Order: sequence, then C-alpha cells, then structure tokens
Amino acid sequence: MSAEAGERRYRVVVNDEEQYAIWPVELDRPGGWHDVGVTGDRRTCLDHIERTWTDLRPRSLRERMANAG
Amino acid sequence: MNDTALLHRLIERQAAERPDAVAVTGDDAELSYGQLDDQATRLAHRLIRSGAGPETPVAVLAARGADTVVALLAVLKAGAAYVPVDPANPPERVGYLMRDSGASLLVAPRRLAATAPSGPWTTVTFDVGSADGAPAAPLPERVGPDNAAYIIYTSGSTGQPKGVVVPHRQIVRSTLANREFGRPDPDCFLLLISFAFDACAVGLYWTLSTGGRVVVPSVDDLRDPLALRALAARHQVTHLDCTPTLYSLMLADAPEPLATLRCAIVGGEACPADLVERHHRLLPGCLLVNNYGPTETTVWVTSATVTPTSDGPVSIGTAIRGARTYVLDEDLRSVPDGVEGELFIGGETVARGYHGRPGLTAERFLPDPFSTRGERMYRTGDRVRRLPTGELEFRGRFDHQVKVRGFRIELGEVEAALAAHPDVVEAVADVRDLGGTATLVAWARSTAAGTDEILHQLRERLPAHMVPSRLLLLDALPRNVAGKVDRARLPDPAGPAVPAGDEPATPLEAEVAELAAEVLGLPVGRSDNFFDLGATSLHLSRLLLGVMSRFHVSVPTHQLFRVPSVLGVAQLVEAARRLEDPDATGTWTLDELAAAGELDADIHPGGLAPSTWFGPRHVFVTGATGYLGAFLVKELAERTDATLWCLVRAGSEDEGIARIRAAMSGYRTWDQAYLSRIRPVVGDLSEPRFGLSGSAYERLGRDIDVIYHSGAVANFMYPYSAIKRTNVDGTAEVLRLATTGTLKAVHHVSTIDVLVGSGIERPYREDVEMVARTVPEGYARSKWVAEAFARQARDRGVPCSIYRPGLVFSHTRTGATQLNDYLLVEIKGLLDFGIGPDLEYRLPVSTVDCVSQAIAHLSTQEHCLGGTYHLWDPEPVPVQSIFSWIRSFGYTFDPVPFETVLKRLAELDPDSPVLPLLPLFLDEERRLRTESFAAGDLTAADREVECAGTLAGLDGTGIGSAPLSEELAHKCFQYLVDVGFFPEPAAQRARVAAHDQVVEWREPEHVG
Repeated sequence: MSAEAGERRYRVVVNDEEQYAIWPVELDRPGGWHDVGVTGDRRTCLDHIERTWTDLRPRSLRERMANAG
Repeated sequence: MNDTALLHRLIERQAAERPDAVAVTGDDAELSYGQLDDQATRLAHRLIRSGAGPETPVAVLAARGADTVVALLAVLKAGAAYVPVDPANPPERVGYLMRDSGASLLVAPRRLAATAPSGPWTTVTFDVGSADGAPAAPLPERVGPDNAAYIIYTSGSTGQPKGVVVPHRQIVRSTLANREFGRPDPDCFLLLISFAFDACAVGLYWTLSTGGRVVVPSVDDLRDPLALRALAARHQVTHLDCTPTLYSLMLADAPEPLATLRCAIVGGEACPADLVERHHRLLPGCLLVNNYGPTETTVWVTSATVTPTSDGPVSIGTAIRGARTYVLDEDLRSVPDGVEGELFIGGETVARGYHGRPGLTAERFLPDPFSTRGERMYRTGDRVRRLPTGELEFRGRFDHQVKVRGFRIELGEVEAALAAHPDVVEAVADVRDLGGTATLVAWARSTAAGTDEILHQLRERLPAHMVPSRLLLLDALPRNVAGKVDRARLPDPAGPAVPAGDEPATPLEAEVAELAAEVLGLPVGRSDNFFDLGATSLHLSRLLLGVMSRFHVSVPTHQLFRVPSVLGVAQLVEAARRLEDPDATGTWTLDELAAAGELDADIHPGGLAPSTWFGPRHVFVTGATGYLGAFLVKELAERTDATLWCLVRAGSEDEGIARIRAAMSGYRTWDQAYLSRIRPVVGDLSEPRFGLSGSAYERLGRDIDVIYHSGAVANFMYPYSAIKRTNVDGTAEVLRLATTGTLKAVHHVSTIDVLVGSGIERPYREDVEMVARTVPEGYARSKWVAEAFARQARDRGVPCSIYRPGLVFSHTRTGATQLNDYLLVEIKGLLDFGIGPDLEYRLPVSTVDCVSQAIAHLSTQEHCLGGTYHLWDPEPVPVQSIFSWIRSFGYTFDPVPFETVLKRLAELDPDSPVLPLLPLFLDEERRLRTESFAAGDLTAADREVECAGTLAGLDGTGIGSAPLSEELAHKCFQYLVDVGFFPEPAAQRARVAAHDQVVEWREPEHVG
C-alpha cells in the first residue's frame, strides 16, 4: 500500500509533544495535530521531517530532563 | 498496580517480597530474586560510572543464559535503554547496531568475553555470582515512565535494520496486560525466544513481575526438541512461548513431559489447525494462546485463546487493554466488519518510534484519527479483517515483509545486502515452499562473483536466519510489461549441483553428502554447517533417520547436533562402526547400577504397628492419571470400600479431580460414582514427601492403609537423568510413606523391561535372582533401580508385592489403549505407507483390564502379599499376527523387508508428528528384536512357569484368561480411530493407493 502512494498529497503535521507525522491533504486533521505549513508528495514531506525533527523524545520528556539538570 | 511504574520496579517488588524464590535458571547459573536484584544493582552502579543514564543506549550481548537477565535488569536500573545484540550476529552487523543505536557500552558476561565482538566501544564484562560482601548501595531514581527502556532492532525494507524505541510506560502496560485475560500466572516459564527479540518479554517480564521462575535453555538445548522436552519435564514448566513449528515438535505425540503445562503461547507464524487439535487432545487441561503484535506496539497487542472448536484460520484475537485496533482502507477510513483492510494500532502501547529515523517514524506512526488528543497509531502493513466475534483474522501482508520460521524479515533488506556486493547488479529475494518448508530464496544478476562468494559475504553481514538458503544466478531477471521484476516467474531452485572446493574426501563422506543433499534439498559441501544452510531440527531428525537406515548405526540425536556437517556426520558414523556399543558414553558399570539401587537406611519398618492391609479404609494411589493407574483406580473403587487418595499434580484439588476424571474418561473407564470415592492429593511424585506440607504428610502417614504405586514416567525416549526423580526417587518416597506413622502394604508396579533390559535369561521365573548382566538404559534402568528399592524394603520387612506387567495393550470391552505406546506409534507411522516389517518376534502382551484386575485381586489375597507377579499372557503374540489384524481391520499394510521400512521412513512428511520420535523408535525396534523376543525359543511349559505365581493366585477368578485376539485388536484400533490417533481405514487405503501411484518405488540396493 505504501509503495504505490507516491502520487498522493500529504501535509506535515505535528502534535503538542512535537512529534511529526504526515497526513493526506483531503482528510480532516485528527484532534491534537497542527499543520506546520508544508504540503507536497510523500518524499517532500518526509524530507522536511528528516531535517526538522531532530529529537524524537516527546517535548514533555525533554523539558522534564532539562529541568532535572 | 498503577501505570506510572517502571519496568525494573516490577521485578524489584518481587525481590523485596520473595528474595529467596528462584527467579532464573540457566545452564550457567540459577539465581534467586534477591541475587538477581543484588547482582543487577551492582552492575548498574558500574554502568552509571561508565556513563550510562537516561536515554543512553547500552548494548547487551543477548547470550542464552541467566546472566543476560542480570545485564538487562542492570541497564534498566541504571536508567538507560538496553539494546540486545544476538551473539550469533556477524561482526559487521554488530558494528552497525552499535553505530546506529549510538551505544558506547557493550555489556557481556565474562564467560563469553573472549568471543564478544570488539570495536570502538567499551565492553563491560561481569560475572554472575561474585558478590563484594557489602550489600549494594541503592540507586538514584533517574527515569520516568516516558524514558526509553529498550531499543530492539527489526529488519528494514530499504536494507538497514531499524531500532524501535520502547519507553517504560509501554512495556509496563504490555507486561501487566498478561494478567488481564484470566490466565494463570507463570509458575515456571520456559524461555524459548531469544533476548534479542521483544517477543521474549512475555515470558521474561510476566514471570519476573509475578514471582515465577524463568528457565533459559542453552544453545544446545534449543537445537534439539527432545532436549527441550526433557528440560520442560525436569523443571515442570507451566508456560512456554514459541513458534507453532517448535511447539509442534515439542508436543510430538507424547505429551507426558509437558504434563505440567498450563499455558502454551504460540506466535510468529500461522498456527495450523492440526496443531490446535493435537494440543487439545494431548493436553486437555492446558490453554492454547495465539499472540500477535509488532515490535512497534510493544511485544503484543492482540491475543486469542484458541479453543478446539474454532474452525477456519486461527484468529489473532482481541486487543489487550489500553490498545486499540483499527481496520482501515486505503483512505484511512474504517471498513465494515468482515471486510479486509489494513491493521492500524493505537493506544498506550504504541512505541516512541524508530531511533534516529524521523522520516520513517513519521510515515509509520500516523496521527490517530479516532482520538482527539494528538495520539498516534502505528501502521502495521498487515492485512486483516474483523470477524463477527470481534476477533481479528490475519490474512497476509501488503508489502514484502515475510516470516520465515517465526523470524520477521524484510525482503528488501536481504535484497539490499545482496546488491551491496560489487559484482551484483540486481537481486530479488522471496519465500518459496521447498520440500514442504518455507525457504528464503534469492535470485541475482552477477557480473563475476559466484554463489559461494556472494553468500559468504552475506553471512558476514546478515544474521543467519536472513541468509537465503538458495541463491540462483540468472543472466536476466524476468520482467513484466511494466518493466518490474515479475516475482512469480522467478524459477524455483532446481536439483543439486556439486559445490566447488568442498567435495567429499572419502566414499563414506560422499554417501553422507548425498543423504544430506536429499534431506536438505540443496547441494551440501563437506564442511558446510547444516544450520547455516537453513536446516532446522526437523531436517536433522530426518537426516538422523537416514543415517540409521543407510549405515545401520545408532547415533544419539544430540551428538548429531554438535557436528552438523557432512564431515562431522561421517566421523560419527565411523566412530559408531568401530565401537561395539556406540552408546558407551553415559552407560554405567554394573557396580554403579548396584550402588544406585541402595535404599536409604532410614526406610525400614522399625517398630511400627501395621495398618489394615486387607479391607483397607484408606488407600493411596500414584499414577491415577496414567493408563494402568486409571484402571487400577476403577478396580479399587469397585472391589473395596476404601477412600482412594490419588496423588496428582495440579494447581488445586478441583483441578486434580478434573485431571483424574479427564484421564479416566479418555480411557473410557470413568463413572460418576467414583467422584465420592476419590480424593485428590495435590502433590508431586518427584518431590521429597511428594511436596506436601508437614501436616498433610503426617495425616497420610497416620491414615493410609495400603499404597498402590503405578506412577512413573513411562517414556523410552528420556535419558535416565531426566526421569530418575520421578521414577526412582518417587519410589523411595512411596516406601518412606509406607514406613511413616504405620507400616503399610505396598503394591509396586514394575515392568517386564527390568528383565529384558538387564540381560536376564528366559524363562523369566518370578523368583529369579535379580542380578543384572547388562546395564539397562533410560526408562528400564529407572524401573530396575526402583524395583531394587522395593525389594530391599521387602527384605527389611515392609509388606511389598511387586508386579511386572508385559506390554499392556487394549481393553477387552472398549479397546482403550495408551497413545505413547511405541508399537502403536510405529504402526501409525507405517500406516502412512501401508507397509509393515516382516519381523518375527513375539510380544508378551496383556489387556489393561486383565492387568489391573489381576493386581487388584492379588493385592486383596492375604497369602499373596509379598510376592512377585508376572502379568502377561503365557501365550505371546507374534507381531505378524498383530499386523494381519491390522489388515483385516481394513488397512493396507503389506509385509515388506525391514530395510525397506527404514528407507520409506526416511521419506516421511516433514510435518508428520511421528518424525521426531522415529530415531528413538528405531532403537525400540532393536530392543524388541533382541533374543528375548525371538520366535520359538520357549516351550509352552516354560512360558507357564514364567507366570506361575500369578496363575496360581488368579486360579478360579476368571481373570486373565483372554489372550489377545483379532477381536480385541480390532476394538483397540477402533478406539484409536475414535480418538483420532489412527486414520479411518477407507481413507488410509485411498491415500496409500494414491501415494503409490505417484512415488517411484526404489528397492534397496543391498539388504542387511
């Protein structure tokens, strides 16, 4: 299924924990997810995420660890 | 328990509650909870000093042993995430895992330090069992539930494996979910899955978080289903988890070693319907569970309890609590029930993602459209549909991920590894059915390098299970109209070609190589390791059979597993031919046999007052769930007024009575009336004082009048060491009970095997002096020693009668018989071919009702107490008579030379459950062909002498006057058809006829 999905258009979305994902443009965004403003084919979206999402830890964990010193 | 718990806290809690309980047993060590916790804490301190901490990956060499558990726990306690590394991985792969995970520490047990992979990382070695004296200092609390607990690597479709990061919250939820299905907690879990796979977490953490014991088989054990069975029996395993294929091998057709199993979990492959049927027939009291779940959603996510009535493919069940399953179409919308779609998984067990792979993570861990809180769901790539019951049915994959022998493999990774060779232009990998086995095959276009060189490079990069078993080099890969490789047109691997440079060096090696090539379905070099070629233990069993048939030598299975190459097997055959007794190792001397038979001095009547030996009020019975024992219970219930206290292994009295009832019902000898007569005694023959509490044992000592001891492991496959505790020590315990409180009468069930196995000459007089001429092996040895105990007790004044039944076979009225009888297993296998060997031996048989009635009657006669009784019909049955009765029952069963039979057996269907037993049954065949059972040796008078005491004691009762006849044999066969052990005659005839038309009959080139 995923291999043939190259022609679909997606957008890059992110949740409050700063986790990224791609989502088909024609579907409603699920609750708790926001657009980052990038749409395109699968490759374009994933490339953006590869560059942007540098720390896979959820934001709340990152903050907790930073505060713990 | 709340979900903010951390994984290691679950184990620490148990360590605080039961520090002395055994936590882990391995080949290398056995550790109590306290020891496990303490050792892990000490190691954790060392890891912290070396830089381990929250979100730090620490690699652990996942060797098969108790020490690995210490290492995993230590990494968790240090707050870090463990990355298990299989020691069987080639060094290049280990290097990749270390680099990709970012681990700078590798934890390895010191016993493996010499062979541990080395590279730009720090190896921390440790010993299990070295304590510094002072208790380990408490560790700082550094992690929370969202911190990573482990990173486990799975096959990657684009060529590189990827690490799935699982935080504590998810693995704790996954672990706690085991208790939410109403299944019994593990008492003793046999851990068959490697620590490198997350599937091991069920066995490991469910057990350790509930105070049970984990048994870790050694690498050698894992290669031999027989060894695993013995291990399960020895530790009285209650739970296990493995692929259906391995479970099928372990279950075979003789469930006795798995008698304590309460929960068998299978997964990783489709579960065949016939395994379900066999499981429920052989282990009716044991749950069969099918678990499913990708690593990305933490170990498991759905589970099904597989009942015997389910038909159609085995379902993968329903979601564990906290997980949600969605079946969606291409547009990510729910499909109606019954319609196929892709499985997506949401909820609490969705992992964090792929380590260092944000793009891949974003693509597989998608927003969950059924949640409003920014949750994610994992896209599994599995095709499923929801059944009306709400359960899910697995229907395949959408992509090129496959399962071979339970291992998840991305074909893309195999293809990428092939293409990495400089001479390989393009490559395709796929799974083909070869010889009935799912086999990984690859095709490639190469400019220069040959198959050997390419495969050699693959072995340096990929774990063994991912190296294709066959590689075909083609000038061009077939393509379809669109220009893509047409997988369906890739040719199946053809017949064998000789591998260059590794040819056999002697005629013997050439024969072995030919045999190996036949069994494995591919060319085999002289020094190729069979396992590297993709052979499984099933292939080795077939090879063993072939070796025995072709070379007429007996090679124990475990020896074959140690040298799995043509060269090794040839050497074994030579060694076996040179020695008089190839099984010399492990045999005792006659002195050692005599020494083993010395009964503890403290078992004697002393000045004890006698109980009531005739007309008893309370009778103690062992072996009530066994074949003869079940009928003894019936006879005693009907001939006496006594309460029958039946020793039984069970979790509760209710379960105990259920087991007894199930056994007796299975043998068609149950009656509701017995419920009021039978009291289960929940305990274990192999434990001191049967594992009973002091007061329970005292009560037995005080109240029991007479003991009937028929309980034993009656299995010819096991080495003596595996059955000694039950058969030998158990008899000592029975004699101990007989001399506790009051002096009780004992009726000890021995066997004709003590005479056959010790070389005593016929005629077997009941009063023959029991002096062994040869040392019996295995079961016969255990019964010899047990009987020696009984005789000594008798000499010391314990009133003990000894009964030696012959082959107990069939029931006069119902035909009920036991399924693990070797003759029947042999016949069952031969029915597949419709042939029987033209051997001429005679069997001393008796029906089970005759034997049980004889014992019951003789035991109630005052003048018979203290005697020895032979219980077989004076008229032995020629095995050819039995074979002719098989024919008259309606089966095709043509007499052929024994050699022909061996040759045909070597061709058995790899799925046949009879196959793993056959090497041992061939030994049995040899046993029955000894002088003792040759035709025409004894006169009628001699034969009467053998059972003189019995005949006298039974005079006038009418017991035992029905020799085995065609009618009795037919009743037995009908019973076997009814319970599904034998095929229906019409079906068998048809199958044999069809088979004969297809198979070209090959006559043996030489006989004898």
